[in-house]
Amino acid sequence: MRVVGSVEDDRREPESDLTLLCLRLAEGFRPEGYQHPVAAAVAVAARGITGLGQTEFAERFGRSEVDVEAAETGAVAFVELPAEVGDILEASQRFDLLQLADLDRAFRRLPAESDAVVVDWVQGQFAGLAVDARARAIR
Amino acid sequence: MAKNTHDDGGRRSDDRSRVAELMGRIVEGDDAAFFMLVSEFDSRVAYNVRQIVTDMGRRDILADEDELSGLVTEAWLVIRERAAGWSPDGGAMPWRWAHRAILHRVSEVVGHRTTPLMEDDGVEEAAWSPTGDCEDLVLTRLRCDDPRLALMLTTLKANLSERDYLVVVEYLQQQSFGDPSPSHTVGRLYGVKPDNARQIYHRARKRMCKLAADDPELESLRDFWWLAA
Repeated sequence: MRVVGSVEDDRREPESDLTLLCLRLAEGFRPEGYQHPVAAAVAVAARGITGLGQTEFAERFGRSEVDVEAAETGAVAFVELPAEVGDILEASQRFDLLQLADLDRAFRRLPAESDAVVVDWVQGQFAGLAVDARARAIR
Repeated sequence: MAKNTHDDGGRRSDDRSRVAELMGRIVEGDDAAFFMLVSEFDSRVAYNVRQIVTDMGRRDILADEDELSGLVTEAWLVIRERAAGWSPDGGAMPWRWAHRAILHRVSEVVGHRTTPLMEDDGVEEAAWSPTGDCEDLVLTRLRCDDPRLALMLTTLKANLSERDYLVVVEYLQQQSFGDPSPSHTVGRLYGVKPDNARQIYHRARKRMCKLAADDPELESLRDFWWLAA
């Protein structure tokens, strides 16, 4: 119960889904020339969930800082992201990895210059393809 | 009581410095800090968005957890876009500081109700008038004689507002036609933004997944292609 005029937060609020934020971030990365914008957004989100800086994140998972930076700047493909990235997102239960994989697939199919008109991810009739993409991203 | 007040004051002070730190990092280009901010302060923004939606008289949206979640996301995007303009020096927290911009974004996304709000209605039925027998049309267009499609459509219709149902069905059809951007096509057809069309589609799928998982009568849908992934 909230007292009138009391603090504005409600800590019992359920945690919201962060997939859309991740997707929007990826859409922003694309025109900036990121080679793998969805992967970059996913990597950034994973570190954000942990609350760690790049150095601490690299140390925690036995990676080099260069590797972390590479993933966050889109130099690493979605399916080649380190396993911990998928694990972190999945454990948080705040991301729909299938949607993220779908957008990655759509970006790879559509030329970047068409973004203004046709940016979208295509979740087609062949859902199995998306499942494969997701599995490889996590493992 | 006094102790609680003191604790709250301390917490709020800690919150302010944490928010200032994360906002500073966002401005410097650390997007992970944005996710940290969202993770730690999501409830504050959610509360503000609920207030805005309440003030707009959109009880139908308040009752829709997914829709509300989408609006909270929009609010966070507003905060991120304007992060460079926020000052940590004694002013309002970012979500209060950006209130007008958030209000504007929420209004853009939600639109304004064009039909009277009816108790227990919750949807804008009058604004959406389907033409013809939608299910038959879909079944024909999708050239699918799988009985599970009919079951899925019936279930969708029973669990979505009429507008959302039509958006989802059209989205499915556009996909089957090979439309590379169904959300834009559907958006134009139904007067919703592509982002919203996308969200409606994915929420519907999520809802169907849950229904199929919980309801034994919908068991056959669990491995239907639309839900199986």
